[in-house]
Amino acid sequence: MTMNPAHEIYATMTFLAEASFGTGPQSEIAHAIAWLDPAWFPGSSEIFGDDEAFNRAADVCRDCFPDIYGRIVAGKLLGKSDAEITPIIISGIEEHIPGITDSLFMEDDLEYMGWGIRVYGSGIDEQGTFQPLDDYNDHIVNALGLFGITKETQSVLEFDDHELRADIRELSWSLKAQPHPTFQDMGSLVQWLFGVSDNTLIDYTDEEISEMELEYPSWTPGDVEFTKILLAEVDDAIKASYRAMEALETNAPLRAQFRMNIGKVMSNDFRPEALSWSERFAGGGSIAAAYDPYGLRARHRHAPTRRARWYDGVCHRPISTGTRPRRARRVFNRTALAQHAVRAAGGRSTNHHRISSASSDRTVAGRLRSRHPHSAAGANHVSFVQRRFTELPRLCSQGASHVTRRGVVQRAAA
Amino acid sequence: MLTGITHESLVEALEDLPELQLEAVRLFRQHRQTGEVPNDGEALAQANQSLTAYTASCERFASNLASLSPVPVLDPAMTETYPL
Repeated sequence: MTMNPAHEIYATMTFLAEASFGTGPQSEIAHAIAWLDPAWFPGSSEIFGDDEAFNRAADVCRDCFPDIYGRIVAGKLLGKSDAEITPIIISGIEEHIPGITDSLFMEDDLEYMGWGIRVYGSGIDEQGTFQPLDDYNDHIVNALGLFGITKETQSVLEFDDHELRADIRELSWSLKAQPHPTFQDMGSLVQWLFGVSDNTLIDYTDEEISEMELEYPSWTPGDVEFTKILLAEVDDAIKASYRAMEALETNAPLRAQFRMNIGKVMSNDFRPEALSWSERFAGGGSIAAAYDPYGLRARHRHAPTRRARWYDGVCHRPISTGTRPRRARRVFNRTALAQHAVRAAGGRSTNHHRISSASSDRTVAGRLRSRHPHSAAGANHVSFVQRRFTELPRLCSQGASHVTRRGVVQRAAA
Repeated sequence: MLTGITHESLVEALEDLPELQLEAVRLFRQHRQTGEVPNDGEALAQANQSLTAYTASCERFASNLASLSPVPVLDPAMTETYPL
């Protein structure tokens, strides 16, 4: 209930007059309050002058930020103007609610405080369309591209679909549940991109919040604390999202893993338990090493002793210290070529390239010839394989069971 | 419920409480004597904070008192000693 201003002034004056009659401790306290805490009196709307916004700010500070209120009163008693005290109010509130200043004060104007705690919506998706994509920075565009949202496809995707949003929410929860911080950052990124964080300021743009006519938090100690938590979450989420975008842009295995799981979400028979995350791809060390199942390529690329050794068509590790890279490569190539020839011929290879069938010898020889049309080495290979395969039916009919790479025929045991 | 405390001992305990020393009151006395405002903004701000904290605690106490349940007076002599 609001009192008539005249009644308010009368009540105040009466209170002061009554307090003035005595000289005891109660009277002194009443005088001290009137002098040092003028906003204590009910209806003291113009106690600091005729600027309504300034008086309201003082009232707010008295309720929510006593330290700022103390500075306001001290400033007034020392003869400072409203213009001199206003920056003290703004900087003081910024100290209490980090990040609020930009949305609350326009050009050092206290007027907006009358609307409650004015907070910005930091969401990025406007009504589920992501249009126009040009409005987003490159990092966000890249991240959206992982979901198949590009300038070409954005018009046909329906990300406002509730079922799809629920699945994407599952994706974010799955990421958030992972112990590795990179996955948790990616969970924040998904929540921010698609507005599924359940924090209004992360999920909605500022325009959407205005259109929805949401009431801003009021200037009460409880709402101030709530707003601080809300804004801290926004700050954390956006910082985490940018960390995730950086990780996804620089870590190809992580990106591939993310896309694989996005593909599961987009499928018609998506089940949350189908999502899987491997910390091996989450960064921390060489990114390329995560791709190499033997850990050989990236970290020790230039260390011959750590190279893979190929023999018998199988990669063995660790290799012997005496293996030279070039030789290892040549061995690998020759072995692979022979392997290819044998398999193409329908046979099964062993250390001596045991051949049980050679029905495609001409095909293999033809491939080799086309692969090495002008190379002497290629011609040698062709002749080797061709000779072996063209002669094989005849050799087999004569009881041959093995053909070595040098063309030596071994007879099967009787 | 308080037990073992008579109304006489309660009155004595309240009367023995030391006088509240508020910095705001001290500054006000100084201001009333000299007619000048202390030129220490930080001291004024601190005094303001302690004063607002005190008045807020008084308001809470008054509110709590207002919500106390009535206490029946069982001794008729008490109404003669402490008439309403």
